Amino acid sequence: MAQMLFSTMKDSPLYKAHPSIKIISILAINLIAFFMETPAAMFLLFLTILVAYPLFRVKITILKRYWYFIVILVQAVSVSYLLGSKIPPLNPGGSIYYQFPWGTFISQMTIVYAITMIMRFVSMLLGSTLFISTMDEKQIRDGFHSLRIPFSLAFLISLSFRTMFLFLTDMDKIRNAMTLRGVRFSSGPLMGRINAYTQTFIPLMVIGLRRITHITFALETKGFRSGKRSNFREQDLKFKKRHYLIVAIEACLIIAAYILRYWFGILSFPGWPFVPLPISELLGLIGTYASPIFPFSFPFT
Amino acid sequence: MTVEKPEVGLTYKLVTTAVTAGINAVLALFAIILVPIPGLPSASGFWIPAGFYFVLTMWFGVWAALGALIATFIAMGYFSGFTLHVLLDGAMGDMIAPMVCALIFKKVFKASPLLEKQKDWVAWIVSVPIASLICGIWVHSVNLAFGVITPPFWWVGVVAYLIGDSLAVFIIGTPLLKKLTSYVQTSPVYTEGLY
Repeated sequence: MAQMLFSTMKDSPLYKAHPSIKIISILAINLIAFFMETPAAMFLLFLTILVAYPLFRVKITILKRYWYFIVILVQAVSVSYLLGSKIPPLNPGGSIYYQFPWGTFISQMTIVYAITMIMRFVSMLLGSTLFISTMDEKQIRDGFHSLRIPFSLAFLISLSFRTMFLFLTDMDKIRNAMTLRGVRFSSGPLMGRINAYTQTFIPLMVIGLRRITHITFALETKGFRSGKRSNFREQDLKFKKRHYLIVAIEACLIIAAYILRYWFGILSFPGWPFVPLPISELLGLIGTYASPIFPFSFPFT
Repeated sequence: MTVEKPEVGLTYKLVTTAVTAGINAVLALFAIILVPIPGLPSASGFWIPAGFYFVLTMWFGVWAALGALIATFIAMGYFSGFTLHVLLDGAMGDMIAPMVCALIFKKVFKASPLLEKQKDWVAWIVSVPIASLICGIWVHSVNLAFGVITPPFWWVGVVAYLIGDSLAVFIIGTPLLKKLTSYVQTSPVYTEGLY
């Protein structure tokens, strides 16, 4: 059912990866992209994710569905930053390209920041799609359940997909029935079309309410319950050492991104190459914290 | 003679969440395709599901609000990727709004979803814009945190969200609430409270 929403790349080696690791990886990529603010680091992340597509044999053509969103995103971010930001130039005497009557202005750094924000969203999109495209609804359900989320809640996701396609069919039938009775959905004034759609909602709602009862009876007849499942193949989805290692690496990357942004300011805008990296300060700090541990004279202090 | 409704199990409530998610996801996809807003990614000028999930939350409580979260995540994710931004922005916002509305409507005003008395109508007219305002503040604060918008556009987004969401709820939700509440009240999963 969910394949109609996104095609699953079963040829990819990621398909056989543990689903919980894929879910955690999606979160990790999004958090790292969120913490980054420098254009260089963001571009590096974007490139890394882009290179991962052919590496993991995931077709990059699955991204063509998102081109419209990317165009709209570029438009939205550009309008917002060009008209509504006051990002000063890099140097105090730097040029401001245009100043608006309401006080905001466009400088070189405005354009750089807008591009960085666009790259952030595109990186999040690419990273999430890379892993989602290698998961089917069963893996999504098992992945959440492996993360100690109760099976009944994890099952909600796949049940939501199934009911969604049931209602798509119902909506179509209701629309066809109303079209046969002379209702127009695709022409006429906007309020008229909204009114026509509103009239489909009542039968859709009644069908929905009946479905709640039918689906509940069907599930309970099949022995579905919210407690521990007796036939769930836990052995297949047990965490192994390599899984813990991957999670540990991702957690370190997230923490490192957070620290580099909020403690050291390295990942804060504008960052390198606009601002030199505080390497000597970093090494000094490392020396300060490492020297009590190491008995020999630490060369960085 | 009054007949007491039997206590419904968790399965019933979870299926309610899944079915409301299914309905709202379909409507959300329609809304994004039908009335897109140029300049706002995967947004809609007339958020049809808002009318549904506000009403469904009045009837089924937090289980319907959870369905709204799942539905918006699926629908927005289909167009703009299943990212953290989509989860925190639209999906969480669409869970917060109907819960706030139900909270104000049922706990503060102690009104009835049948909309029979003047007090019920006043409660509906007051609680919907408040919930939409809170949701708009949440959504655009998340957008600001993620860097989609700048501070001057924050309040523009909040006002647009308040007007758009409230309109959709009043136009679609009010007739649903008025016509179907008495039918839904016969369902075992209907709740007078919030869960």
